Order: sequence, then C-alpha cells, then structure tokens
Amino acid sequence: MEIPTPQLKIPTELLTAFQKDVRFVPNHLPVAGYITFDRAMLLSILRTQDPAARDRMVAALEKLDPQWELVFVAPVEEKTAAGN
Amino acid sequence: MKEILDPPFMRNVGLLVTYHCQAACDHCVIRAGPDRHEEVALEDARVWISEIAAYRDRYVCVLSLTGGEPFSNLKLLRAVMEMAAEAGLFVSVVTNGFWGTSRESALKLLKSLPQICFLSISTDIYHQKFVPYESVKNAIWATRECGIPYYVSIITDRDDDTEFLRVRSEVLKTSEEENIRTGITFPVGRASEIKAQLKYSVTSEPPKEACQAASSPCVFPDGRVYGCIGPLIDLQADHPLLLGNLRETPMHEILDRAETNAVLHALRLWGPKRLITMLREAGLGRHLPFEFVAGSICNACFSLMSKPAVREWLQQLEQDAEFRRKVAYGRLYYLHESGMLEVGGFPQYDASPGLVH
Repeated sequence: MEIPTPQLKIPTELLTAFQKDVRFVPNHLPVAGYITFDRAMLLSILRTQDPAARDRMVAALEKLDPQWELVFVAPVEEKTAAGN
Repeated sequence: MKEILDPPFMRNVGLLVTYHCQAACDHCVIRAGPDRHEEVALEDARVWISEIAAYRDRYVCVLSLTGGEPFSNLKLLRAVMEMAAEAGLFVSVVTNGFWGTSRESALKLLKSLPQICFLSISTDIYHQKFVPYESVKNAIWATRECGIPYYVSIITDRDDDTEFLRVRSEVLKTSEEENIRTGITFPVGRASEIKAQLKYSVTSEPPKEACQAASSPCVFPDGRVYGCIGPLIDLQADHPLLLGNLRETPMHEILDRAETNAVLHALRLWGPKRLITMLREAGLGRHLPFEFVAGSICNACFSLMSKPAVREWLQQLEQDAEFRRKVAYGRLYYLHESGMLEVGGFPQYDASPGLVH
C-alpha cells in the first residue's frame, strides 16, 4: 500500500550534514518485550492514515485460512545515510 | 519512495499487564516473579486502551501486552484483549510458554484467544530454570498450528555460550532461523545482582546502531508511561524517557510528549553513541563508564541515563533549539516522519530554504 511521502523542505545545511553522516540500524529488532508482525504486513498497516483501510485489512486477515503462515523477512542489513 | 527499515513510531504501544510470573529469572529487568502480584486494574485498562485507540484518529494500531507473564491471569488477559480488539487494535502478547503443558491444552488455549495476532515466546537458560523447554515446544507447536506469527526470544550474555547454542539448536528443530531473536543480558534489574557471573564482552565504545525500542512507548499498571520497555524502567529518578504518569496527565498529552521528545528521537536516529559523543565533547566524559556491554544498545543508554549529571545535561539538551531542529529534520530525512515538525513548534518548517526531500 503506497503512502505518499510528505514533501517538506529540509534546510540545506542540515541536508548536507545528513548526507555526509553515517547512520547504522541494528540487524535485528529489539527482543525486550516488543512485537513485530511480518514487516511487510505491519508496515503496510501502520503507514496508512486511513482507518477504513485498516479495517478492511483486519477483515481480510480474519478470513485467512488458519493454517496459513506469515513469512518473516530476513534480518535487516546495516545502512548508511549515503546509501539510503 | 525509499525503503524505511526502522519500526514506525508509536504505531505500537505496550501495556504491562502484570508483574506476576511463574519464573523469577536472573536477568529480568522488571524483576517479575511468583511473589509479584501487581497488575493493571481492569477499569484503568478500559480507559487507557480506549484513549490509546482514540489518539490522533487511531494512530496507534498495535497493543503489545507484556509482563511478567500475561497468561498468568487468563481472565484479565482475555478482558484486556477483548477491549483492545473492540477498540480496533491488533494484539500481540509476550509469554514464557508455561501454559504448553501438552500439545492439546496449548492448542485449546490459543484457540480460545482469537484476538492474539502475534506471540513472542521467551526461552533461554534463565527461563528454563522455571519453565521446561517441553512446555515451550508445545506452545510453539500450538502457535504454528493456529497460524499465529511468532518469534522465539533467546537472551544470553554471550552469543558463543555453549548453553545458549544448545537452546538455539533446540529451537531450530521447531522453528526457522527467521523466527529467532537474540538479546544480550546486561546488569540491570535483577541481573544487577549477578553482575559478577555475567560473561558478556565489553568494549571501550558503545554500539554504533540506532535504538529501535524507543519507537514503542509502554504503559505500566501504576500509570507511568516510558518511551520504551528497556532498562530505564529500573531507574527511580526522573529521566528523559519517563514520559509521564496517567494519574496526573492525560494519555494524549503523554503521547504528544513522546512525539516531540528530542532525546528520545535522537536515540532512534543515532543511538546512544551520538549522545555519548556529544557528552564527551561537552567535557562531561568523566560521568561515563570506561566500558560498555558489547552489542547492547540498552546498556549504553542505561549508562547515560543512570548518572544524575548526565540526566541534567540531557534535560538541558532537550530544550536546545538547534538540537531539536536537527532531530526534527533528521526524522524527516531518515525516517520520513514529519510529526515533530508538525507538532513540535517548527511553524516555519515548510518555508525554510532548502531542498525538497
């Protein structure tokens, strides 16, 4: 589900700083009591601003075959701002 | 649109249902155990869940139930899950799997709890002193039978520890690699009492990675709301990730605070290492430890927040306009999040000269 990216301006000096900066993301999600659904499913649900769309997704999930299993994606690799 | 690998902010909110647990694990941050009986009051849960669901027109999607052991009080768990489902929230639950005494009973139990959308099952050398792996295995089997997505959480002080490898190998007989998450023990909570026994590696520098736990605030039975469910909950003092108390402040105000909390979002953007670097540059490095637990972002964060002088510096940093501006735009650049710009006092954000991201 495609969600529009806000078209907001980033001040030039900050944009330059962010482009030069290196940011690292853990290669796994935290385990301390936190839950993540299958990433694709969760992100698609969470990024929508439309409650009706979420309700439709819930209804669709409820109709799934109980034997059906969600697939987890592979651990996330490190990324940098330059390669973002 | 660029791919975003970080968890979206505050779409998942935690609720600590109970401190009670069949296990009193040596590593437990919240010191749960059989002698603990504090739990969320049903009426509080009803109000808080409805407020969470109503926040910013259903902004929050997932209620993550944790503990203690949420399955300890099935009546309470059922009631809370029904409230959440009625409010339109997905429900996930963390458990130690003690209820898997047989395949049949585990399956029957899970089938009676249809609101569960996701399970996190904990098993490791700490839990296995109290909950036999056979029960966990049955719980995993039933979870798979019900088609419930899950992962198995294994905590260890070293990822080359033979006992950890044994547990992991056992889990791999029932689950795929992708279903396993590993965490590093650090000396906070009950684990602070066994610090001398912990065999984790230490390094002179904190981990370089961003924090992902701070994407999900957590509500406690006494009304406190923290920016995460990490080790900071063990601190008695005020600190930047203690967002407020629902006995004193409405839910929406506390969640708004999370949206505009610059220190919290700096942790999400750059991890504690960036704050530690800034602290050293400010000449306050003497307040930091000489070593950090390797690979533990939580430990590095706790090292920061547990020092009164550092907390004071962080409180000042929180008010620093340039720091707040950098964090707000950093969220936009790295995470595509505009919330802090919209509600955080940046009225000119869209009129600033610069490039369109």
